[in-house]
Amino acid sequence: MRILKFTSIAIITLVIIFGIGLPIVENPQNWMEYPKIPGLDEKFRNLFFHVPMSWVATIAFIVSTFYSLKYLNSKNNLYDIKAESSASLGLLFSLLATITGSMWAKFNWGSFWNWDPRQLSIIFLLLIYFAYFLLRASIKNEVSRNNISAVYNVIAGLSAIFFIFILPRMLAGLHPGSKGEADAGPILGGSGSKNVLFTFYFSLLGFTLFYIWLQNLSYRTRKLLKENYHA
Amino acid sequence: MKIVLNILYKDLLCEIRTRHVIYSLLVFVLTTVFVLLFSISDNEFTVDLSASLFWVVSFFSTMTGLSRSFVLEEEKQTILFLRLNATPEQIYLGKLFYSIVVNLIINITITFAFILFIPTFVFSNLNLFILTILVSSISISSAVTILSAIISKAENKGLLLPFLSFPILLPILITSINLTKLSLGAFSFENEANYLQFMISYSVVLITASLLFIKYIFEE
Repeated sequence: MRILKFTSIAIITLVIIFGIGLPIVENPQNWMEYPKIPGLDEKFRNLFFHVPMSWVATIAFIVSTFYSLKYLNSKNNLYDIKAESSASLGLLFSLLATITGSMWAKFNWGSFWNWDPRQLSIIFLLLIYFAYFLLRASIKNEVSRNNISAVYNVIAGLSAIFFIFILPRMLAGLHPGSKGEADAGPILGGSGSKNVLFTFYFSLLGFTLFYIWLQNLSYRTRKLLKENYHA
Repeated sequence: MKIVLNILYKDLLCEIRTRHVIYSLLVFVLTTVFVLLFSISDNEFTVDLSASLFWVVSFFSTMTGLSRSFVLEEEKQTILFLRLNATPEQIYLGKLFYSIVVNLIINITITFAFILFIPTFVFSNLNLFILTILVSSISISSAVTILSAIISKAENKGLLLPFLSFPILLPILITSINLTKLSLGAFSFENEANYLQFMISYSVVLITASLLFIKYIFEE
């Protein structure tokens, strides 16, 4: 975990430095330059942070559902703690993705909130997982709390699949991949620049490792709290 | 299957004897429709608005009407007797059928209230509207039944159900609103099969998950 911590932080630092620092030119000649994308200019740098955050949130929710299933299968309380901590991290990263996405929306689409299908789906993902923690807080009996919140988490994960993967593709919207669009948008699909893609995938890797470390940390903290304070 | 039908019969009998849900729903629907009529004048009712208002009223009536099914058993402590005589899956299916019946009654009542009082609520495609009501009643019940079982163990039951079920019900509500718009106005009829498929697949997923996991809810 120590290696994960340092690698992920190093990768994210590099992504921040290169993603924000590298210049944008008309005809990039060497690897230190990003191509100019018409209409987006400097604003596309947000992509290096917004998409990995949403990606991590999705992974966190899937992992949380997986551990809830494992809990229901084995009745081992440790899996329930893992599911809870992964859900809390998913909530954190969806909040971050909402904030960075609102910044993108303000400067590219005109206002902080446009009711794009993906904005709709993220607000309901947030509501679903707020409700999950509300449910956890309002059941006193520990066995039935763990059981019931695991069942709710599985149902929430199933409807999250509809929110993340199906609904945004059924409706017309501003995000790439909406109804009637097949490519990955002007930055990743259209620009064809190797170093934009490289920074992007590097950032995905960094954020994923960062999530794995945070998940482990949060799990250990919650476990210690439970063992020592029965919280 | 016999036990499932017995549970459905028992619930309907309780309902017919006390008429608790039916009266509260009638009062609720009429009150909301009158509030809508006071606040919006006749010429402001567009097709889009009346289709959306229909499902807003339906959502909140469902929340008042259906939240009781498991909570009542838990409060009267009759759930233990049910558990003695039926498996969790049978209890779930009985409650699911009861929810579908009540939800259909709710939606039909609201439909009549809307036809009576709201001028733009005129169907151009009645078959599609009937199909919409039927499919969305089934999907809404499939989501609300399992959530009602979930909250029956929790502390603040009245607050929790709308909060838990709104995000889960939202895909159903959005597609129902779109289908209602299609059945009310002269829109193009190319998407309706898509929307119906979406709703049916969503409810199939929910019912399957509920049948798989309902037994864990009753464990103490």
